[in-house]
Amino acid sequence: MGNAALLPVAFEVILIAGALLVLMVAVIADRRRSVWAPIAGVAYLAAAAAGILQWRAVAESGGDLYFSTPDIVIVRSPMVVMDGFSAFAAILLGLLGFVALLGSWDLVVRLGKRSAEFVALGLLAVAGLHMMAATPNLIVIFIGLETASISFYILAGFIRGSRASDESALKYFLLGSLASAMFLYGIALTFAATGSLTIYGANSIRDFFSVAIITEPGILLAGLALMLAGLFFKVSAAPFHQWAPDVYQGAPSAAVGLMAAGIKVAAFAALARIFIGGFISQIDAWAPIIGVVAALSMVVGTTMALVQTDLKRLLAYSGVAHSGYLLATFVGGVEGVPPMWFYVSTYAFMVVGAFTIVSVVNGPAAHAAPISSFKGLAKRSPEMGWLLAIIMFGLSGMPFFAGFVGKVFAFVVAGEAGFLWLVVIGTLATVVGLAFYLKVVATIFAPDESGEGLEASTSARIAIAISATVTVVFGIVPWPLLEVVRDALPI
Amino acid sequence: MPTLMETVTMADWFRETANWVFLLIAFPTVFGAWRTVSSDNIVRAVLYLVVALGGTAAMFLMLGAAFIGWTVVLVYIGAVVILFLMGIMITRAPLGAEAKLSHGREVKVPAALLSGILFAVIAGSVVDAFGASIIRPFEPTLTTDLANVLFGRFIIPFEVVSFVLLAALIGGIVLARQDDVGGLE
Amino acid sequence: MIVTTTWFLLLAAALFSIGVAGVLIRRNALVMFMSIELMLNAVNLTFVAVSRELGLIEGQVAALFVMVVAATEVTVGLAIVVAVFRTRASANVDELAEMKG
Repeated sequence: MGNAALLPVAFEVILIAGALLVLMVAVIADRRRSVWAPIAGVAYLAAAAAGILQWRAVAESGGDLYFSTPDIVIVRSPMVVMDGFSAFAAILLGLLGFVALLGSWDLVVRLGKRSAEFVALGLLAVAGLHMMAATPNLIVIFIGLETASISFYILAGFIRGSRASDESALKYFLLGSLASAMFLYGIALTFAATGSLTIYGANSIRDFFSVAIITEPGILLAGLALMLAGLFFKVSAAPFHQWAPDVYQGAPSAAVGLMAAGIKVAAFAALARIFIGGFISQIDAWAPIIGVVAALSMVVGTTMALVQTDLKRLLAYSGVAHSGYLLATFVGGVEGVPPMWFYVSTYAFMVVGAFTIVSVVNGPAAHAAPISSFKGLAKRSPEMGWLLAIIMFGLSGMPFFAGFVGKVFAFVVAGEAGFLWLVVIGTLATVVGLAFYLKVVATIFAPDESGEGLEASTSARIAIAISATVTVVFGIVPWPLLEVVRDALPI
Repeated sequence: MPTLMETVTMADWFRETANWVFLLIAFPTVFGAWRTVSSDNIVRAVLYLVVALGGTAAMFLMLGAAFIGWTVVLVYIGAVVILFLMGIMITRAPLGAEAKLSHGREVKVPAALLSGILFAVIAGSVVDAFGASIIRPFEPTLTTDLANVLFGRFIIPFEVVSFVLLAALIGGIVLARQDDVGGLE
Repeated sequence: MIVTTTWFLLLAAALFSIGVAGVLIRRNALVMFMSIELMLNAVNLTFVAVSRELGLIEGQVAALFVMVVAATEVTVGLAIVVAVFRTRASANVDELAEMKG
């Protein structure tokens, strides 16, 4: 294969090289001008382009390619897998990182000389996130998860001297570490039950299930349950969601977009890789657990969001509900993966857009974002007002916006899998959820006398515009994306 | 010598070194872990953590994983525990007994119940799955074998771990450096 | 009767459960954090014991990776605890109540 040998790890290599370059340039360059931020932007775009190359290579080969180097050992037990699934994750995460960087540009400028570390941590985090989607090895999934999590703990506490930011970092750190430990114990017990740490390749979990008859399923079930609990924590699914509102509120708004959207993309990708790629034969054991947690997340997220007065907390609870809708796609097995991708990729851009608007209105480092501060936004800045309204419609699941299409496909999959009660709860939650999204929209268009003009930087406006465009375009013409995600399966 | 339980006498049981060595290490380990989470004195909690970690290190040696065992001694007991003690000094935690170290009974009881259930579930499934299997203690794994796997098949994770280290390095600097620009809020 | 894999796995399960209880009942961030280290050690013990039982060296490699990650977690965690202490002179978690709702 020659020069194609590095392609499967190109995404990570580009981002890590970008991060190192950023740190080195920051040492020698004029620190008052953030010259390193464009480097990071180029790195994200180059990484997304590498994802497109991976996608084409996979399409040409007609199947999945294992990472192959001259070293034959690696081929026999692959640590990185290049298939439609990982290539789609690469494209999505590269673009998401780019949009989030644009959205946090104001913070980068205001951080001045400290922004190099901010930008480099973002690059490292995205590299770790993609690792979770691109490896068949459970330990490497864990390492990728930790790369991203540790970067996010630091980003949450980036505003030093701010009590809210510190508190956010400490809560995220303690509960995140607890979740990582549970996920890891799940891996260890699964290893004990199946004798394998890898999903594909030699002596894999799949091989195990194709030959073995499980007489004592207890230890396997305990392992699966612990792995699920760890990932539920990371995507803030109920009842493991308590950290999310506090962490989102305390962390700098400009960083929350990437934290909230990125971890969801990667954790759901890992969930699909592990449970649909590896443990699909045990679906009868884990699908009910996921179904119950999905329903609980929808109900808890929606009801708690109803009483919030702060937009960041509201978005955190809405994120809990969205985790529920996303989990609902998993009960459908492999059929649920394309809807999951459609949902999570549109949702990710909406979240980044929403938090960028919060950082424009309330300041990129502020922790409070009372909904009242958005009163009359449409008058103060018609552009921001309309874009936020579009994103809110998208999140609420209104027809003709991307959130609607995502929910419909999620419910169809869950219904076909026989989880009708889940569909009923999901529909009810969506209808009730309209109330708080529309409350925000009503606030935006409320008349406001004290309205003063609002200045947004060009980069923030581009980021928000991209996110609103995704919301509208894939709401009206979802077919191109649906066509693509059909080939992004973890098999 | 795997004989039937009923025919094993006390002397037979003690003739097998592994048995009493295991128990001799296991009880202090569990006790150390228990005191780590229950002691009212934060410095004692750290020292009990040393006992628990030392116990697991001895278990690794017993399992023949000498490299892992000595790494635990060097990294955990040698470095991590010192970091904890430094953390205690920096945050000026009171050195004597302190009632505020733990939550009250209203948290303790449900927490103990939850962890008891967790233990019961995992213990039950472990006994089901591995009930009869026998392990030969004190048979060492060669560090060379470990190195061959680590730097062969696992070379990519080995590289990825360096990203984690880089992120932690940046984080330590970012969070601890004393040159805040200020006025960001 | 001789030492079996089960013994080691039971010991690991006990240590893990004690660690979970510690995270839940402690108020001091440092001690919560020590409990998490205890949990990670229990995981390592499971990995190594299973690795012996099945004759697979992967478990020991996994334990090494876990140790590296745990050590980095300690670094970042202590940096965060110290940063929190600077702004409010306490490392107790329930005194953190900047945000509620």
